[in-house]
Amino acid sequence: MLNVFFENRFNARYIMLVLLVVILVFMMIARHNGIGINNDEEELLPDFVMEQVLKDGVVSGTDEGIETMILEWALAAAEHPDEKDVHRFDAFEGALFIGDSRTEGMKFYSGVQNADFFSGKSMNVDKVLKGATVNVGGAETSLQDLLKKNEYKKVYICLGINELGWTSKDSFTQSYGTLIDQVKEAQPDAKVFVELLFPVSAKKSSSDKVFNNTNIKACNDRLTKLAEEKDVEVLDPSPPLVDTTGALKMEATSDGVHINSDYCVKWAVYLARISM
Amino acid sequence: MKRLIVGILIVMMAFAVTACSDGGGEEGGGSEGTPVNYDFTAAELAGTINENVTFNDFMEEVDPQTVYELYGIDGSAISDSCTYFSTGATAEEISVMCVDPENADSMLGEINRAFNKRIDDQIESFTDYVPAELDKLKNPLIMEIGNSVVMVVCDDPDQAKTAILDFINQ
Repeated sequence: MLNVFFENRFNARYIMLVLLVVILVFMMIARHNGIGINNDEEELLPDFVMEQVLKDGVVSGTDEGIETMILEWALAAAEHPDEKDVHRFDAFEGALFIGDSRTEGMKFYSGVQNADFFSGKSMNVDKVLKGATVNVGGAETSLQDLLKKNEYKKVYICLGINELGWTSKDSFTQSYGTLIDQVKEAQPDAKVFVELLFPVSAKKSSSDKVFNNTNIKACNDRLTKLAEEKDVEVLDPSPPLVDTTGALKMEATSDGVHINSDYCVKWAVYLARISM
Repeated sequence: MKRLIVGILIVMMAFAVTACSDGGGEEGGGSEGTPVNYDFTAAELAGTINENVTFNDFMEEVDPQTVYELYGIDGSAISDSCTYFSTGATAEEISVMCVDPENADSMLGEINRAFNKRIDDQIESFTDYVPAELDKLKNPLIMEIGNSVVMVVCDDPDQAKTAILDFINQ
């Protein structure tokens, strides 16, 4: 019976076609879910598993294994951003970014369009606290007005690079703390993140008395301590942006401080995944 | 039958090519009677400027809606646009905004004003930030070309002007 079936050339071709379609569909599903694309990613759990793990709140600060797994998963995605993944910035839905020119780069180049950005060149904590206005969605507004007007699920604070030259480090920490308090008071339901500063390039670091990685590390240490005191989460965005020495990759920057569009995408993809 | 179909296709393609090249046409204004070609897209002109003008920073294309909001321009009145910003390290910028002929009278002035305001805002931002960039900002190139307005912030605005004129006169 089977022989007769397969002897018919039409049936054989039909079966081959069905098999081919099945294989293709399987490959597409595997690709979509991040299974076995290359050797680097083979050991990672697929996206849908990781997303469920994060959604269920299984992760805790004490579980270093899972935390490491999340960071590796986020890093793999940031190193090979998938432009076709329309969900890659879902984590930023209802989010607000408060930052300086580096955050402005993320606003312009990362493709994140579902968040608000309160960012501007030379922005610092004191300017924010004093009611500096920037263009948000076409209107000049202060952070205070923005926080009154909108309800945010997440607030990312990414300030500090312009304050590296301040003589009083305590003054910076105090102002930053006040900013966290203002945000928490105005947005009690929002999750507040303190984003650590990513390093500058090795060349910049070795030639600048202010904008160098020693000062950035000291600033990050203060921010980490402050975040603990204020009971908010700390995020380190640097892994996809730095070389093996821990400095900002040369290819990512023209001045050693700001990053180009490719790296703005990596930054945003990584941040989205570690703050789901 | 096949020959007939091929013949019809050739005639249709010839019509299509004629129709495309008719769009912008040639308008006067080129030096010494050289025809000026206003039939370009914003991306073509901005891309030409990016390729032929010296910029110190990475120049990257930015989503139009973000640009309209930042410049305070009514995006619905813009028929085509293309804008490049630098990474933030410099004030370098390229923007080309085009409008439909029927909106030209009202919108070209509007875009000019928006570009000038953008320059003022950038001067304010860079004064304490990277003062070395103020030279570029105090000497920007803003020019109207047909139904478009172009802004270029760079070290050498004459180089930018030459690139634009070469492009429309080619």
